[in-house]
Amino acid sequence: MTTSRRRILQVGIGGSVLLAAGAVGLALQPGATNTPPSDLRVLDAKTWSILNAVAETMAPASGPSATTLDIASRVDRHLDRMHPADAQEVVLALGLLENGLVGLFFGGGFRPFTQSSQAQRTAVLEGWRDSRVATLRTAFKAIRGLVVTSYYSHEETYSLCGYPGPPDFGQQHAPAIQPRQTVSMPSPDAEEVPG
Amino acid sequence: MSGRVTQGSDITANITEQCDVCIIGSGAGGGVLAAGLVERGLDVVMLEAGGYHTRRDFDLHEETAFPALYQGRGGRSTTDLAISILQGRAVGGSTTVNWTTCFRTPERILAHWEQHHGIEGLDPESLASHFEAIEARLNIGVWPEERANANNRKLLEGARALGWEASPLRRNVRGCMNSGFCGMGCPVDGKQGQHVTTIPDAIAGGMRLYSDVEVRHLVHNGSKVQEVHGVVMERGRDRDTAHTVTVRPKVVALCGGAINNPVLLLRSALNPNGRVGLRTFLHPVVSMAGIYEEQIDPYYGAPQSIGSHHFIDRGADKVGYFLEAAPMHPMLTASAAGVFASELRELLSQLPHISGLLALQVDGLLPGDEGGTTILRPDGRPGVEYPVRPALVESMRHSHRTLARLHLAAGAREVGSLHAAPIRVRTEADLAKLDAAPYGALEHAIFSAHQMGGCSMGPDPTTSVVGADHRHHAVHNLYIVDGSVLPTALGVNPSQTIYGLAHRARDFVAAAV
Ligand SMILES: Cc1cc2nc3c(=O)[nH]c(=O)nc-3n(C[C@H](O)[C@H](O)[C@H](O)COP(=O)(O)OP(=O)(O)OC[C@H]3O[C@@H](n4cnc5c(N)ncnc54)[C@H](O)[C@@H]3O)c2cc1C
Ligand code: SF4
Repeated sequence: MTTSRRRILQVGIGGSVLLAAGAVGLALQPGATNTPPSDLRVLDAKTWSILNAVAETMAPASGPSATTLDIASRVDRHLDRMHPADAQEVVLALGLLENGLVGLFFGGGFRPFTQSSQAQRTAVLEGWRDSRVATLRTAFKAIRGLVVTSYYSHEETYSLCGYPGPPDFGQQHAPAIQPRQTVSMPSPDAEEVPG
Repeated sequence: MSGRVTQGSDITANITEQCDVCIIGSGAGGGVLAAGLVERGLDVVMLEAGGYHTRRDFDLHEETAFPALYQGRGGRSTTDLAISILQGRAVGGSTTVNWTTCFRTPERILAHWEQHHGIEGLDPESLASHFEAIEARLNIGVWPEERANANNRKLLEGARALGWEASPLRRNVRGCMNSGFCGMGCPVDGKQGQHVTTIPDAIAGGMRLYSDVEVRHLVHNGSKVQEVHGVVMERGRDRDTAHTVTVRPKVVALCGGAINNPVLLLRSALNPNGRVGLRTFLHPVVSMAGIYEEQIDPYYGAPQSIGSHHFIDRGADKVGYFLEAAPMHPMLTASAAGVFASELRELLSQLPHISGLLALQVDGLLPGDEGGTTILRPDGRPGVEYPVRPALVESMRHSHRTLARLHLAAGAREVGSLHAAPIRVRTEADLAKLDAAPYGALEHAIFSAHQMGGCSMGPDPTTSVVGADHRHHAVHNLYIVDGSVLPTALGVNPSQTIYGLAHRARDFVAAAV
């Protein structure tokens, strides 16, 4: 998973005010529509539901659904690999998205994101994308990056892209490095194979 | 003194080492330097923050490769997220994942350094023997035009039709199977990255390599580094373990690359003249996707094999750029596009017919172009602040027009930009739409695969960090040997310049022991 998903809200005063609004979003009653799995690492049930709603909105109408591929949990696993401070910023951005009051001011309705219709959610996300507030554009880029990279790195979606996937070079049979290995890595003189 | 690899998972207690030279970072600079020092009979310990991966680990899925092999688990970027920064973090550094394009440093850049940065002793003649040695060890040679994939061939066809210069590139490969997966780790060890060349050479000669060890602090007294403090990291997760590695070397060679080096120096309160982190250059990249009737399969075949320097010199007041191709796998393409939902699906469904061409902007050459700044964030990690200044906005606009013309000349039926609302070009008449579009930070995707500077080389201790011999101006047993010393961007892919400089620096570092 890649690019565009770090340090999303470190942009001075405007950012901090918005972050506070994110915390408010997380304090609202959950509007969960799907059941989160029990083995979440970074997200909780609430933020998982928000992310799931984003993923449902960002996944294509034709193709495996974000819930089927459990994109929210894949993102959760990725957040767990990231530095905790970066993961926490994503969590707060999700709270911001849920906060209907922010939605009212920045391009959406006043309903919590999870309780909005698909069309309203799209409008909120596009509002962030096109916002004059740099923090929101940045937050959009971070959330979009996490969700679409998670979706399109899933092997189940390769066929949507007409991508046959990587060929098998048999590399999994190459020798592993031994603990405290004392000899150098082999550098095989592979035969030139015309491509 | 036998060579050895110790991975983080092998470390079950704190470790202390003594040696002649401690090398921090195992990439282009660190690898070449290590092999040279071992050859000179020196006792070398190398610490690398990333894991030691071999081709066995390269499953060629983006989902595995980016979190395992790249900085920030694949998510490094400028602080505003406007520029996505691809930078390696593994044994071999960025050379384990790079796209193998090799250029000697252009003569005009060396002349610019002498003229504007006062750097002496770096000219084509004195560098030639170093470049030759590297070309031999890494098997650098021209990739034959007939083996270029369709993606790269579009660059050649378009340029030829327009009468622009374009030519086959040189690559550091031996037995390349033209797979197209350089960015995820070569599955056949065809790519001659440092992880299969100079690092094994150095280990065979006695170097002790610790992987998964991130250096957090240099203990010093202002003129000498006494200790190097590293923390053992979990593999695959940005978390510390309870163990540390402490090295007491005679000489320290910092080879962590741009962005990482400056932040280590700042963390260690080693910034006597305030220059650390300044002049961080990225070769900011913009791209356009051409959609063709015929099959391109842009995910297969050597990722970069054709390049054009037709627009490298656009006059004294303009930012120049060069043109290359990019491998297009689903995840990276999805992340680069500005759209989502069905619109993104629609774009990606055409992936087999897409050619992705790049324009790399040469930053740091115009007067007043200071590039970006690497900063130390309160939590001790790096931040990169990179203002996209008006001259760069102009060159990005010009680049889009150029890329669109190239694709059209090569027969694309449609060319799309990476704006949130993509600009679509079907005929020359549509080019005006590109002129009217917005350019700059967060307007469209911008990438960097070439990070340079932040510890600039120069003769003046008040305006640079290291001298032309790579020695820190204030700390006499500290050398910086990698892309962070470059005083400007290069206008060519940087790896061979860094290999060459590191090869030249071997004697300087050895003499300091
Ligand atoms: C996807 C991609 C494609 C590229 N394609 C090309 C190409 O085709 N041609 C070309 O010329 N260049 C290419 N490059 C760029 C090129 O590989 C780099 O410019 C070059 O490798 C930089 O060399 P370096 O020694 O400065 O740093 P690196 O090679 O990046 O090595 C630095 C190493 O130091 C480690 N490190 C950093 N800080 C610490 C610390 N504190 N403690 C321990 N370890 C640390 C890092 O983890 C890293 O492994 C590409 C880069 C990428 C990412
Ligand atoms: S294109 Fe060649 S060098 Fe690159 S990964 Fe494939 S086989 Fe290796």
